[in-house]
Amino acid sequence: MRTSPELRAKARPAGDCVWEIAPSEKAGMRVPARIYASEALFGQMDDGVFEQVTNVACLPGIVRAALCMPDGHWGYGFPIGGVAAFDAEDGVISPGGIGFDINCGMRLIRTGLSEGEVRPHITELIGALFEAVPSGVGAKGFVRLTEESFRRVMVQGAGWCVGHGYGWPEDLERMEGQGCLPGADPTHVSARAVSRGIEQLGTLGSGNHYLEIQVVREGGIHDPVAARALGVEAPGQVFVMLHCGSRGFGHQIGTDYLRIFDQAMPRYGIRVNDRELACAPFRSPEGQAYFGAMTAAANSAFANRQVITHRVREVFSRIFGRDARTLGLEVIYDVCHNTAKLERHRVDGREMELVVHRKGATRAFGPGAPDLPSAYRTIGQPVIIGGSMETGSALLVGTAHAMEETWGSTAHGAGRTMSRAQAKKLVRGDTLIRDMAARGIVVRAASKSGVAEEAGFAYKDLSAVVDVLHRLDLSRRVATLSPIGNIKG
Amino acid sequence: MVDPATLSITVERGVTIEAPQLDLLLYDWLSELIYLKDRDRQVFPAAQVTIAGKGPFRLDAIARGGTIDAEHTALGADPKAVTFHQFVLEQTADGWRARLVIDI
Repeated sequence: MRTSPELRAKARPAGDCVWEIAPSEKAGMRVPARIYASEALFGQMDDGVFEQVTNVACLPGIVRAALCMPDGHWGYGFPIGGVAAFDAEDGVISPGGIGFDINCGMRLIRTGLSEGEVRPHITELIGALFEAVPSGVGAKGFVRLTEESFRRVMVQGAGWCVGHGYGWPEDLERMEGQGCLPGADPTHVSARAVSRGIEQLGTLGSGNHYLEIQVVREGGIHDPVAARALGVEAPGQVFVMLHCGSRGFGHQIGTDYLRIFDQAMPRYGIRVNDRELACAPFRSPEGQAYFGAMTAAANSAFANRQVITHRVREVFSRIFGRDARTLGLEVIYDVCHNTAKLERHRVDGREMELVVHRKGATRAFGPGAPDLPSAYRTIGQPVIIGGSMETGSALLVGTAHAMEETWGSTAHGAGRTMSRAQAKKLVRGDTLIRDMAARGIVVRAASKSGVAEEAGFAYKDLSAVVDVLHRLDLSRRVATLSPIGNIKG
Repeated sequence: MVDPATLSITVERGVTIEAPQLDLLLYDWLSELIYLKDRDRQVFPAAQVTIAGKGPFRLDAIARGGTIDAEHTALGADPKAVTFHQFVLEQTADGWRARLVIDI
């Protein structure tokens, strides 16, 4: 695939922080490609982003535009930060628009603890969490599942966990889709996917996945009203953030169906510019089978984050000698990054059923959206955006404008500025761990080289990404969270 | 996946794969190694591979490796999948050339 800079040069300003590549600029484009970025972020995007977002604009059934969020970077198939909606009746579904890590997502948990209470225990706390939440290559979880019970996890998602004592009933309403997306069909999941994932429930994974202890600093609350509604009350308050997904189960489903779609495309007369964008009509047998299996993986990811939440509560309870409810360990929200979902949106004045692909992008529904818990209905859906392990994360809320502009979608992170290999050449993992400890951030990692890959300098400035989202009214800034402890896979 | 120097080579495993195209045979073979890493916690730094057929193709391999031991095995990146991103398998004057990107 080409990564030439010509397509970047063809992107024209189309408003404040909006760039557009017209369909006439590349053969086969059905709609424009639209990139949301400041000049600085636009300049930091890889040339591959422009190639990929215009390839997405060529896919059958795409509606309105192929979108790229301000954290966009070069991915596989879609760019990371890519969003595209396809007509459910005559459009396609593509594993390359979702990624292998199906429903990789974020969960934010509040606590009633202050940094002053946590700081004296932070090394012990991080050590205990590192033991309780297995991470890294080959890690197995503590939940023992039969194939039959695993199939129930696929259908019930986080609800299965709460029903088996791994969580509280009220956790469920504070998750995208209540932690269970409709349409999961275990009959379309291969035996290989089952055997690969059945022992991994409750594991963190590796790469950029993490479990982080965070604090909101003085000046870190930007919207006090929304912050209070979300459970962010005062500077010094401590939070727990999770970033992980469906583990090997989702990776195998992605592998299985990429292979199936690669072979199925000729039957439907579909040609794509990039083989990683292999796709099939959503209403075809292959499209429906993938949607059922992919949704099963999405639900297992909700379950994974729920089981980890249970472990986090156990550890905090043990370290602080009080039960988790007394410690105020309540889920603020849980959002997906890598999914395709059936959603209804207005297109040219009429409501349409769309298959909305978000690849390294977050749903950001505005106030009044029916999927939101009553406590958040007037302020919008919480949006959790993870930054680098050194620099912190952001809490925002979705907006009405995002519903009109981006199918209710926003960015998911800071976005990389360099490859993992480049980052490892610039810093050693053990050096970085020592440096971070000196700055008050305690790190435990399954892989030291993995820490180097996630160094702060390997990522864009998160505040620059959040500024663009806020300026464009794609999401509204609520709070900034800073790390004091981190577990990495 | 892991530093092979920290892995005890204790496992020998036979693998047979068939695929309609040669590039898919490579995709399936590498996908199999990633699958075994998760299912059995086994990784294979070495393998003897024989490929036969003119389409469909058949791969027979004897893979040698070991089981990940969290105490002693130095862990690296956790591969998720083989991608089709910039995927190339081509015959050259010197043999075969492959370019693959693994999602980690």
